[in-house]
Amino acid sequence: MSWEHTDRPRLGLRAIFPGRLGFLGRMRVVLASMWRKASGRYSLIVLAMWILFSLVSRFWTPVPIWTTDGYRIWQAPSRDHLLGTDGTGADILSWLMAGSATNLAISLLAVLLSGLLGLLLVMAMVSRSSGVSQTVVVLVDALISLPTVLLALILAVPLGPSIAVVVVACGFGYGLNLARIVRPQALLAAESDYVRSARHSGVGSFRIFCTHLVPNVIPVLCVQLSMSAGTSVLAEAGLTYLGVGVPAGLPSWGHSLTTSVKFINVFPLTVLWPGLVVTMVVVALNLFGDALRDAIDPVTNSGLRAAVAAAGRSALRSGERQEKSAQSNDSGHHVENAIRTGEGDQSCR
Amino acid sequence: MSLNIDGLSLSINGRTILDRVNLRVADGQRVGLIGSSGSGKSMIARSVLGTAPLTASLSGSILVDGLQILGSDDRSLADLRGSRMGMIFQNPSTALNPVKKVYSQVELPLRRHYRLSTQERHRRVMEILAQVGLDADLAGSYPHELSGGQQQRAAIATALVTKPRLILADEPTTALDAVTQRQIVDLLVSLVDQSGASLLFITHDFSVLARVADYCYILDAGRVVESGQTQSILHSPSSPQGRTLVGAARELTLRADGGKHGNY
Amino acid sequence: MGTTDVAHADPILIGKGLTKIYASNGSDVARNAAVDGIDVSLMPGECLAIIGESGSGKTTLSRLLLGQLRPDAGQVAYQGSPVLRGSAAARSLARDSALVFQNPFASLDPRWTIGRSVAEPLLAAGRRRSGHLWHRRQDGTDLADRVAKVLSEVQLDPDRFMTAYPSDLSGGQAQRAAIARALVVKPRILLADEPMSAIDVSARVGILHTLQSIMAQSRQQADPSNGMSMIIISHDLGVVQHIADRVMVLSQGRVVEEGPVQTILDHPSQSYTRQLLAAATL
Repeated sequence: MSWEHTDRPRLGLRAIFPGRLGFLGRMRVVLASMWRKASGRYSLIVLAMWILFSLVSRFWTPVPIWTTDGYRIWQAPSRDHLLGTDGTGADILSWLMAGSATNLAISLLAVLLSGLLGLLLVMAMVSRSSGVSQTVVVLVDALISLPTVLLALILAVPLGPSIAVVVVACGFGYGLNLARIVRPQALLAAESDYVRSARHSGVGSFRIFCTHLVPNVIPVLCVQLSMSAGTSVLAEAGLTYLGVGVPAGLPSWGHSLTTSVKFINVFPLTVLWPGLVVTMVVVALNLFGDALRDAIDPVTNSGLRAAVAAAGRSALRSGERQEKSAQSNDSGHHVENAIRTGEGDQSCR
Repeated sequence: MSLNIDGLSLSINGRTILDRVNLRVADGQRVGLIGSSGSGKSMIARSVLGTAPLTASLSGSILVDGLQILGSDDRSLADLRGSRMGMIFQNPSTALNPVKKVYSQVELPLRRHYRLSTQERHRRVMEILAQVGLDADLAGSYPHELSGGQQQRAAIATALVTKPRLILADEPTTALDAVTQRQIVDLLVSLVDQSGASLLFITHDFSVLARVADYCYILDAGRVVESGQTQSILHSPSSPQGRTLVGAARELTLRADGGKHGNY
Repeated sequence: MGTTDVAHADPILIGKGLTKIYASNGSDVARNAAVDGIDVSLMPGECLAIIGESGSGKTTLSRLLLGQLRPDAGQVAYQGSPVLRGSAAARSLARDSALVFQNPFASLDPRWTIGRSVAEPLLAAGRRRSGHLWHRRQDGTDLADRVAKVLSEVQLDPDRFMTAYPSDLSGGQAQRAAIARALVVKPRILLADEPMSAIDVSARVGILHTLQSIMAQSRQQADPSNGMSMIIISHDLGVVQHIADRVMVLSQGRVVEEGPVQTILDHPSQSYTRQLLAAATL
């Protein structure tokens, strides 16, 4: 092929950076790779159900959660109450469904907060100014000794029991942890020859952090953040039990556990259900992190590499075709379409 | 000690790494195995040592002095490794334990395989260190305190301290600079000759191989594509891979007679 | 080999009395000079080989020459003006030079496609020109063309390699990609730090030919004083004999021998050089 033509229609940067193009197509390949493994499949199903139940519970639960029946307390599972009732006669399944929304929100916010905090700290830790980096390393080491529970108890003084207590305590604690775990990986990338060349070419430190360092710590981030999500589910249960977590009246899995755990000797089933849900979700999140790491990393996932290469090739080729027919100057859409279809028809083993 | 590899095939997850490899090292012979990266040459060494990846499926036969390696249990292989078989690896900085002193690393195979008194062990360790050209006062240093060449000398001492009868050297000079490379190769050849052991020398560089081995095998994509006397292959390689390797070696070396360089 | 017409031109890069001292173990007692009072000059269009065993200071010297390290004594001048931290000469030296490292897989981001890695210096240059921090709206066609062109120059099929990841490449291919990345901004000085020692001997020849053709191309330019100069660092005389015009032999931070490649090969004056020659014979 000839590359000498100068008046070719604009291809756009996406043609050369196929690594960044077609986010949806990329995600499709990633999900397909995860689905191929049993652990990935399990985690995807459980997490999809979690999200689904959270959405559905906003509009509908089998029994409205505030409907209680004093004559039907501690009931065994039945046709009316699939998982039975608790000590107030409320439907356990409905409460668990409603609780899933709260827990999902807590997990997402905690992950978001810890991710942001962690990356911010890592950015300071790999800073080229040794004053900044050493100060932050010492600061993180000092702060990490502060237990999450203690932090939550302190936060509960001004805030009272609330979601914010759980989110901030988890986000803060996990963010510090994340920074410590990600730092060596980020340093490895920061001292690599490719970063040296990028710096020599005049690429700024912030851009190097965003484009070289972050992509190269994504495998660690995937595992750590999904473990944090799992741990935040456990933390919610623990903090709610202590009375500083989710306030009474707001359904959550921790709440369901707390209200029934005193009666575990008498009515074990009422404790079993929320316990089962929490365990399933935490296991799923941990497996999800591993599966996502393997699937999203082009270094380990050859299928993803092949997909990206094929998509880029078809984008380049479509640029050539347009050059030959030389018809439209609105080539952007064509390229995007070519990328989409290119990604649709490639095989990834 | 002789090594007989017959029809060795190795595949990992359905991908063929080695394809019916036949290779012979007679007692006291120095044999070279040459191939570009990814040709599977290291996998042959690992198969002989019994350290091929657990996911690999092997077939064929590997006889070391009549003992079948394939299917042998770990225990008897471990007894063989480091006592009658010695190994030298490519990168001495990772082959040596960074937190142990050179002396104790060289001593380790003796401790593992023989019941010797401390004095006897000490005598043997100092003897081999002198043979590989390491000063006695370097025995107490850690690997990072040594240069690359000294590290490789220490690694060779570790491999040879038990007077093995078969030595496998997997690219022992690749990580070193040209002058050190030459020194290490010459050292290895003289030590092997002194002890009368057999040597399987793996490399990708014909100019190194030509100094080491009388007979060599050329490996490409897991198959032996050519074998014969090193000198005759050097003069008239018959396979395309052989021609590439020999041509590269000729182009990247000077002529020994000091004449007009380069142009062959 | 090359008959370069450099006699009348001014050196593009001059280093005078360059010295760099590393304090070992943090103590002042055991200070040893990695580079000890070295004078270097590089002509436009010239290929200078710096030869020496590991630890002889060749990498330190190269980093001093490109202004990546500050010398403890001595000075570097680029196109006649002294290279000082933050000076205009330092900036133009950084802009006009490019690096190739020993390990190609360490010099390409494993999570970037080759096309993106090769385009990175171009994009950075574009941002610098426009002075805009978030400058991305460059003409992608032009960019793709230049990336493809430079990939063809190093004998990599752009159609296949532009969208490939480093892990799908062999050592030789990855090193070609790294060379393409260095060449894409049309540098005046190319610094190759042991570009062949981490790859197979058979692939080394290919890299050597690529570097030779790049030098030949830059010499064919109308104005020879605009040609690209190359500093190639190696421990192997055999590798650089075909490409270098001049050889500088380093030992323990000092220049032990210097001269045209043919002279060094035919009449080595130092015993260390003779060892190097002996090591490079078949």
